[in-house]
Amino acid sequence: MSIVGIDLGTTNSLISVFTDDGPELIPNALGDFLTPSAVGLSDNGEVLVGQAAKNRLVTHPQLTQSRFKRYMGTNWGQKLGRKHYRAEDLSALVLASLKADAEAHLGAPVERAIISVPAYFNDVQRKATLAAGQIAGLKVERLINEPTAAALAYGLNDKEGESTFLVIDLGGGTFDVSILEMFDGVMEVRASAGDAFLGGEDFTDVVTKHFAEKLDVNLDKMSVKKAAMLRDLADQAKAKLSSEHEVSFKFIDDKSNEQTLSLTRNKFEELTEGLLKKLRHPIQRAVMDAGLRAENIDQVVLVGGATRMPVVRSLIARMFKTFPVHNINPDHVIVMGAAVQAGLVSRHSALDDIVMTDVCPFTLGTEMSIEIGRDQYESGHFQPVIERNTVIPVSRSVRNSTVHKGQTQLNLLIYQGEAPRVSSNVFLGQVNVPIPKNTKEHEVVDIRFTYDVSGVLEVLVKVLSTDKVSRLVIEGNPGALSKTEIDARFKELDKLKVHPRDEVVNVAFMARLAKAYENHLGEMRQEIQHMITVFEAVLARQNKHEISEVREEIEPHLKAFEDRNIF
Amino acid sequence: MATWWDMLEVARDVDLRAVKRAYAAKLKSIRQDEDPKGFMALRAAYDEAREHIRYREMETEDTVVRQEPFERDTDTSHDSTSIQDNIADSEWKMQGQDELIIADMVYTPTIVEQLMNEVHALIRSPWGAGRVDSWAAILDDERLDDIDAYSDFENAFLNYMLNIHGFFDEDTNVESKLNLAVAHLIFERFGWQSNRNSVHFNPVVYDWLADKFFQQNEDTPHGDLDEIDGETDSGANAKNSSHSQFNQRGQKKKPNPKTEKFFKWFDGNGVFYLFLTMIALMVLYYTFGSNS
Ligand SMILES: Nc1ncnc2c1ncn2[C@@H]1O[C@H](COP(=O)(O)OP(=O)(O)OP(=O)(O)O)[C@@H](O)[C@H]1O
Ligand SMILES: [Mg+2]
Repeated sequence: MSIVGIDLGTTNSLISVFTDDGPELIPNALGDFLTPSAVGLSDNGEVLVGQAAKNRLVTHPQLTQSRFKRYMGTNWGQKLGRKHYRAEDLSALVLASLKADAEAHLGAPVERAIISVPAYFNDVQRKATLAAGQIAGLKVERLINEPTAAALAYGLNDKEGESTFLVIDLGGGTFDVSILEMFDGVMEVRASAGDAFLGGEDFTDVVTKHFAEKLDVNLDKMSVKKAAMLRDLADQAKAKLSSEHEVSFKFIDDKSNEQTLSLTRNKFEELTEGLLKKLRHPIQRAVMDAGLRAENIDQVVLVGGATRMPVVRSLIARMFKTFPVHNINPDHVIVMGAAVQAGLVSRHSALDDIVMTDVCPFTLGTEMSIEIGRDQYESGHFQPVIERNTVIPVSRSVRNSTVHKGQTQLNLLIYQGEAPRVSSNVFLGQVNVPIPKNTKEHEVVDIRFTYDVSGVLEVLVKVLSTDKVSRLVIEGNPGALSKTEIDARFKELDKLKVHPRDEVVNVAFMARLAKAYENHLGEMRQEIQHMITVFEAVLARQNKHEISEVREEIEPHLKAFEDRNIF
Repeated sequence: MATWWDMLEVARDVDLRAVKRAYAAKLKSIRQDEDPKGFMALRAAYDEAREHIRYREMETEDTVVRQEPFERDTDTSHDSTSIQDNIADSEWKMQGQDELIIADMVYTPTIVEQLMNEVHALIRSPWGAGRVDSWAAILDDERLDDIDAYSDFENAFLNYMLNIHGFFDEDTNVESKLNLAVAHLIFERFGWQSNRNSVHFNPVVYDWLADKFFQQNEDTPHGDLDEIDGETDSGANAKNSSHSQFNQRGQKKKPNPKTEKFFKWFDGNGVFYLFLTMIALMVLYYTFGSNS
């Protein structure tokens, strides 16, 4: 039974397997490799995932959700219909849909998976991704860092060589930078850096805001539908600017007036200056952490849809005085690498001479107090236990003693980050350790952090005087799900009615028609209404052959409407 | 405990290439997920081997660095130009030696030197210490888009700030030469407070600078100082048994080669500074001394 590789993206998700011929992408029910990470309910309350849901973002904004990856491991949630969904639930629905695609394609059940996560995902976000996998009924064998996966896909082309390369992955919602060194079949991650909250979608937001200003409207006061349309327009304007120097769109405002919105590359560059500045720092840091100069880097590889933006490419060219490469489709690289990792985990014979090692991209440690005078302590200091860019799996320990004599409990706060004071770092959770009462001396404990190959942390505390070891589950992070909660959610989602896979094509098509209808007025709208009526009629007759014929007939006309750039 | 050369089955005087090859061969027979202990032991041996080799290389490198200023002297037939070169080269590193800068330089300063000249000029200009916009302009300079230029600039800038605030002279009485807003800007841009623990830098220097800039004003960047009031019950019950954050680092068997190098580098330049100061004194002596 094969292990699948999954790229669970902010905007798009993909699935693949490793075969004797290398990584193979698996198409979804629509025949596409990219499944939009959008989830919604159909008019009769069934779950829709992918393109159909994405199209309905505009026509049914209250029944559809997207971009939830950003909220993994938080208490964020949204209602769809009567049920409340967390980011883990929505992600699980996307995973389940990909799983169904793979099962249809492979003709066998799929139960084990490798899922890619941004290198810069913290412990809570990683555990949330594992939970989403479990809720979807998958056994997640391993998480792989996205830029590492990209490097695996690229590295496979050049097994013998010795080289160092830099992977820059700017996706929809996250930004990752990794530096890899390859030698003798070893792919070693030297350093990783990034920003878990920076991606192509932020560029879209900036453009949306700019357009709202031009229209002199307040985004928050606009109707939900119109706001969704304006954002959709901005997204397309941004993407089109990657190949054109100036773009122009029509927008029908709240009062049904047609307005023209245009944008030039120069203006776009000016609007996104702040975001571009934010891209610089992680790149610089990764290079400095790896102790490299530009000349030591053989290749700069671009991954992620948002690296198609010329502003991003030219920034990178300026930084490295070289043109970055993108030989593999930037949308496919990560899932291909995830498939390679699946091959490695299942010991595929084609990968016998390849090994990969990764690092922990951020420092992990505890809060501690420092003695500042006799019996005077200052709390709030960060004590690093595993320093960033340490090769994983790794296990490190520090020896601490209690602050007070006679103290009976140690309340250990666990943090991730690079600041000397915990208040500026990310709180991961806390553990409580009982301490034997000792009024004469300070008790001494060894705190051991173990970071596994998936980047998941475990903490062990040993009280020296009793030799008692507590294996501790990190709890108390408000966003994390417990084991029982995960099980309950799995059962609940299992009960949901998912729209039948073989009808997805029609639902997606209908959603496109509905969106085109919303975007147009007058005569054009009537024309689209006519198409909808014809399509609905043929659907009602339930003849598969006939339905697909009509679909093909309508397709060019619908496409013509979509290309008019009216929103 | 097996030594690294036993673990990797190599000779002690191997080169890096051979160490990598040996490590790669061993790594392929270990499953990182099933035998993490075996992997960690191998990895530790590999890290130690590389550190050993780096150390070995650094020692040879350092002798070269130490000789450099004098080598330059002998390289040129024109002794005086060579001195001018060196002076121009280090203008921003010098304090109160402006009179030594000779107008038409043969030497074109590097990007970093040009920018450090701007920094130096700014800090000495009236109100310069508080001109946030002028500082931002330097930090945002597009010449720093280049990653190498940026790395070098950050290093030079850090050294300069440490130097003018008396870090190397162990002088604790120097007052902050920057106003708070500028200090915040600098710390934020370089991530010196919020983005640390890099293997690349020694955290001691950042703390030292942060103390200098922010302590007197009871203010640290990013509101870091919100928990200073000693023992609060949630946080104050674990402490580092070595009583100091940095002793812990000092317990490592070998000093961090990077840090080591950093101070060695400065030592090397210290000789060079001494040399420049002597010239400065000589010039002063000949201009004023001989007249009287
Ligand atoms: N031609 C283009 N020009 C500009 N941006 C584009 C283009 N094509 C795609 N994008 C942007 O790329 C982003 C999606 O990229 P990608 O599919 O790699 O992200 P993801 O994998 O879903 O997200 P992440 O990896 O951050 O979780 C979107 O923001 C999209 O707008
Ligand atoms: Mg992605």
